[in-house]
Amino acid sequence: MRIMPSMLMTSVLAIGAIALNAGCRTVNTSEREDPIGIPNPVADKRVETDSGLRGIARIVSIRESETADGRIIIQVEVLNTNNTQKRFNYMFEWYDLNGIRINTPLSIWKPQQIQGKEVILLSGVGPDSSAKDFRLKLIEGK
Amino acid sequence: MRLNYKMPRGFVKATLGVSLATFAFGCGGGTTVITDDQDLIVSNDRIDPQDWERAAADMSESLLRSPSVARIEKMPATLVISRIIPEIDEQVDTDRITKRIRIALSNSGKFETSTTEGVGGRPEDPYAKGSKDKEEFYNDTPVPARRADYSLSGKIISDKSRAGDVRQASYIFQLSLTDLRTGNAIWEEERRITKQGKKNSVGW
Repeated sequence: MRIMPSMLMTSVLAIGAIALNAGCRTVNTSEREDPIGIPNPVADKRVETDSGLRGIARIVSIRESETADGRIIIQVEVLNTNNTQKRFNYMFEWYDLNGIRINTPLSIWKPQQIQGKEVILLSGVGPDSSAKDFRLKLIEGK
Repeated sequence: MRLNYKMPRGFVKATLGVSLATFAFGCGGGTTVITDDQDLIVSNDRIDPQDWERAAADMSESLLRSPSVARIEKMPATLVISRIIPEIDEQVDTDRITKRIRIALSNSGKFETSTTEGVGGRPEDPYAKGSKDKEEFYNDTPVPARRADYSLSGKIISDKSRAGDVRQASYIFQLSLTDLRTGNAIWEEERRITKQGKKNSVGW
């Protein structure tokens, strides 16, 4: 049987489409149209040195709350703009009123997986009531 | 003035040999101090140091966020470490997680951990225990029925599986904080760390 170039091209395209589709798994979501909760947003200052990471873990919003005994809670919404699962690491650092970093076992790097087009929440709680400011560090996973 | 000097052949060879050896040693697998957890070895069949730290951090955060813990009025409350049972197929020291939780809770100001009370009456610090007992004896201090306010107990479980040459190991950390007046757990948490791969690797 003689293989026509057009048949070969169609086969290659079909295999390529299957391979591409197999690697793409993205997340669909559904939620209340008008959320009841009233978030307390935090205006942030960003230093982005890795453009690839900006696509893997794009910061959508930052919200602040506190525990019943006055400990700060920070929740950061991040979005993976890619169509495939990615990995990154993150860490929360905490600072007191004088801008001095608080040494705490809570400030460690944590690995995180995020699916394609998924939005996840990264949360941190201040180690004690003197923690008033934070810094979230993100780095691409290996 | 022209210098007519011929370098001895042996000297050239020796110099080349030393240079090559230095180069190989400098570029080859010398040992370095790792200060970034992201560069540590990730094992797929044991709990790595960074896993202990991550579990401890997650548990501590959960404790500090708990509404029940936030309602504790006595500050600092006294905590004792009860049994943390490792049900895994490797020898571990559960202090690797409890110590970091104790540090986080102590720094928070919510808890102080007793080093003179322990499971089976065995104190962590025998000298402090003896000193305390002596103090109470000579001062006629009435000994309370119970000194601690809360206890921390739990379990570490492992679950391993395999698909072809890919191995997966899950480590499940379960902890409870019990109010010693009522005997009820006021906080409970479970965290799982799962690792998967064909072989160990470096970095996440």
